[in-house]
Amino acid sequence: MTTPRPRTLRTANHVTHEFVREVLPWRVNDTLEPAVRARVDAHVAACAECRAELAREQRFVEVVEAAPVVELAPQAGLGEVLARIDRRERRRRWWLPLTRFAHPLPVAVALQAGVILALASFLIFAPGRDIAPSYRALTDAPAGAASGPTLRVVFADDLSLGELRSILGPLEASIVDGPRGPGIYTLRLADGASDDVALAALRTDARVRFAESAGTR
Amino acid sequence: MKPRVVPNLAPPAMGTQGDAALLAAIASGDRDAFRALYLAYHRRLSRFLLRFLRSHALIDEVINDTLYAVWCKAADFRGESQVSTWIFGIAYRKALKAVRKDGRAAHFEPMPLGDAHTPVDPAQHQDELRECIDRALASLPAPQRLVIELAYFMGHSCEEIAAITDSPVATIKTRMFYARERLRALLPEFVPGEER
Repeated sequence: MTTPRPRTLRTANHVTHEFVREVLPWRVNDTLEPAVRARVDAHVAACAECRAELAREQRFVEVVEAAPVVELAPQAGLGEVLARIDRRERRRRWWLPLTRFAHPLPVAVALQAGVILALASFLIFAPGRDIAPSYRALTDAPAGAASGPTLRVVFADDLSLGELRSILGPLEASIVDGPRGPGIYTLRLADGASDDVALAALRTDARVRFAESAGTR
Repeated sequence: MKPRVVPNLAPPAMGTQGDAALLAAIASGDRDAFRALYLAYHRRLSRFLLRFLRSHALIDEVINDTLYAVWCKAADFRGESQVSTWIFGIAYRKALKAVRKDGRAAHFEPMPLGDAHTPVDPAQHQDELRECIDRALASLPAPQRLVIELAYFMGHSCEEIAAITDSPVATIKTRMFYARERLRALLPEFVPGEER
């Protein structure tokens, strides 16, 4: 259990025993204000306990101070710190011209804006990049090397694969796109085939809910 | 860095105005001023840290970190305290951080100084006494030990120690009170005027 620290009291004209005990270390190192020191000295002269304590602490310092000091040579440390300063100065040379004329925050914002602009430019204008939109409208023609009339068709929901073949086979049509949206398929007819004939056939087939020409592509 | 044993001398006198002038020059990037300040404070800081950190490598590290911080922050010094108080404040914080990072806590039990009736060599007795004191100091909590160091061995006033440690004066007095209580308990044979 530690000793409770006593309250210390000091009035304008005298100091208490507790106060003197408390400030003795600073009487030992002689850093008390002259007026305080005079009052402390007056108390010490009259108080055997404080006199003994002061002597004890003075001896404590003498014993420690009498020890030889292992002193570290400073040159190596100085060289190390100067090298560290050099590295810091090299780093600062990059930033100093920017920070000298402007507040750091606007500079940071400007740099950030520059990075964003560069990134956007790259995304838009990068060489070899396909800039075609990634979506395709229903009216867009299907991609493909072959050419011929194309039709847009919506089949019945319960159409089987066999029935699909039986519809496409006589028309010599092939599915080149779809289904898209509400089940729209794009069919391509053989080159030279008539889309009117094919549309007429499809529109009379109960398994076809919708058919229209999509032009020749 | 090879340590060198030298007689214990008083710290070199460095006027407050001299320190302030050096610091102003450092703030404008004057390396010669930094060299002068480094050499002036290296010795004072190593004395301050020696009993506290013990490891020479750690002392070097704290001194270099402290004086590097002085170079970096010289322009921030507003003259609200003495330059030495400001520098010791930086060293104090870095020393505490080093001790916490190191994580080693000293353990100390009172060590008898020998049979009082047996005549001993006074020099040997002094060495034993000093060793006892060193171990007792090492057993104190770091903030208390630093207050002892700054007051008894670095000669700072209570107000200066408060500024260095960024603590109220009352806190410094409390730390000093408990540190002295502990030393009194650990060094029962260390009494005033005792000579063997």
